[in-house]
Amino acid sequence: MNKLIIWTLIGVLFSLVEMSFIRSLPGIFVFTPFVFALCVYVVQHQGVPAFIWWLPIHGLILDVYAVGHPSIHTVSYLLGAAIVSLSAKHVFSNRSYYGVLTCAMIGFLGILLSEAFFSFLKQFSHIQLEWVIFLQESVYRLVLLLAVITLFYPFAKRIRSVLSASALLPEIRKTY
Amino acid sequence: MREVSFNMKRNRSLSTRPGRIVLIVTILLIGILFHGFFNRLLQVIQIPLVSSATWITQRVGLFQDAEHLTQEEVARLKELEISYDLLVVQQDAMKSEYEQLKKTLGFVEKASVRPLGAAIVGRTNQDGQSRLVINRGAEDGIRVGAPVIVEQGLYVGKVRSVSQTQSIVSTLTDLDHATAVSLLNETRTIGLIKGLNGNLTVLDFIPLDEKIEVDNLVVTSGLEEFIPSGLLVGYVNTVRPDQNGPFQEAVVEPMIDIRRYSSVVVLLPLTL
Repeated sequence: MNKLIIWTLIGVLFSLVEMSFIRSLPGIFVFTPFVFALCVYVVQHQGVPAFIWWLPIHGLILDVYAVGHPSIHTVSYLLGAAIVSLSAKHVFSNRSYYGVLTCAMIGFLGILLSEAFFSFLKQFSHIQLEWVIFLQESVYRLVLLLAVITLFYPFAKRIRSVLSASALLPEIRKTY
Repeated sequence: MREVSFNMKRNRSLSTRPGRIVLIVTILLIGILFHGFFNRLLQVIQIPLVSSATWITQRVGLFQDAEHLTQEEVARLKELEISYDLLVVQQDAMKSEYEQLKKTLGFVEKASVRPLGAAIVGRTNQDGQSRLVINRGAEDGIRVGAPVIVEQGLYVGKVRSVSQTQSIVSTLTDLDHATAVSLLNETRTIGLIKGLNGNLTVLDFIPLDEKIEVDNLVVTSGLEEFIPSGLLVGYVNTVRPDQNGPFQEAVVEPMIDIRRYSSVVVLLPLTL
């Protein structure tokens, strides 16, 4: 139970980092999906499936702060979490670099499709979204997602030791 | 011994599924009841995060500005400098005229707004949304619709929603945002400025006989509740005909890039 609380608090902290720090960065770096990248990396490469709950928590925080379309981020991130969870468990069971990248891309495409669907619905309330810019931003987000996951790899051992020290890593994963 | 067995029972009850659900519901209830306190607590982390990233953005912005200034832009800056000097002269003349009028009418100057400083604690700039979360809320007297500015009257946007301890501000470029503005052209065209994707805004449904030129200044018109007139919004970037009717539209470039600021000022009516 303590682990659940610790995971939740860490998830909230990372959401704040994304919302406050990353979204104030210059250029295209504002589009960095840091929480999603970290979540996929920890779930698949470090083998801690419980961290998948970070995604709905992140979506919920975005909606609570009302910085997104109402109740849309929670749904989108819940869908992304389901896709990543199922892919990591049944499709990309290995922990190879390409497996993690593909799993992240598929999960994130789910989120993007969900956001596109809600944006389409929003057009009925006379708010026109320019799809070219939506696509452009989506490409930035995908590229940055892959870049961030790639950046995690050199720190794999350190991340593992942090997870292990905080008793968040399952026993089975401490052996390799 | 009895105490140990009680603790074991308690731990066991928490590790079961209903126990977890009860704990999660309890945490959520505490979160809802004390959300103001938690917001204040989280702001302690958020404010330095926003400030440090804004510092990076400012430095990168300065570097880019210095890199990309063309000969034309330098020439334009010189022109602007000259027109600024002329404005200073005009302002001096107007100031003395104002002083005379004030004396004549016995006018007592009253500031109609109360400025309230606020730190930015979160932002979004995605899917057509451009919003800020600020660390001031209803308990500081903020109301929905209050204008938000930076520096000496550069309009940022207006308060969209308010909770006890923080507020959401939709900026000019947000697709959901609209503000009553006035163009500083010959006919003082008025209209509603709306967000346009790509960090721009648009002033549409302008009759074709209105004469609008590139670089015309856009200011708030004062026709909207809470928003005083004369706050600088931006300048006209492009004028193009509206393809759906006998109108034209002006694409307006905002005066500021809000990502270079980590704090803003909310203007509140004195009566609040």
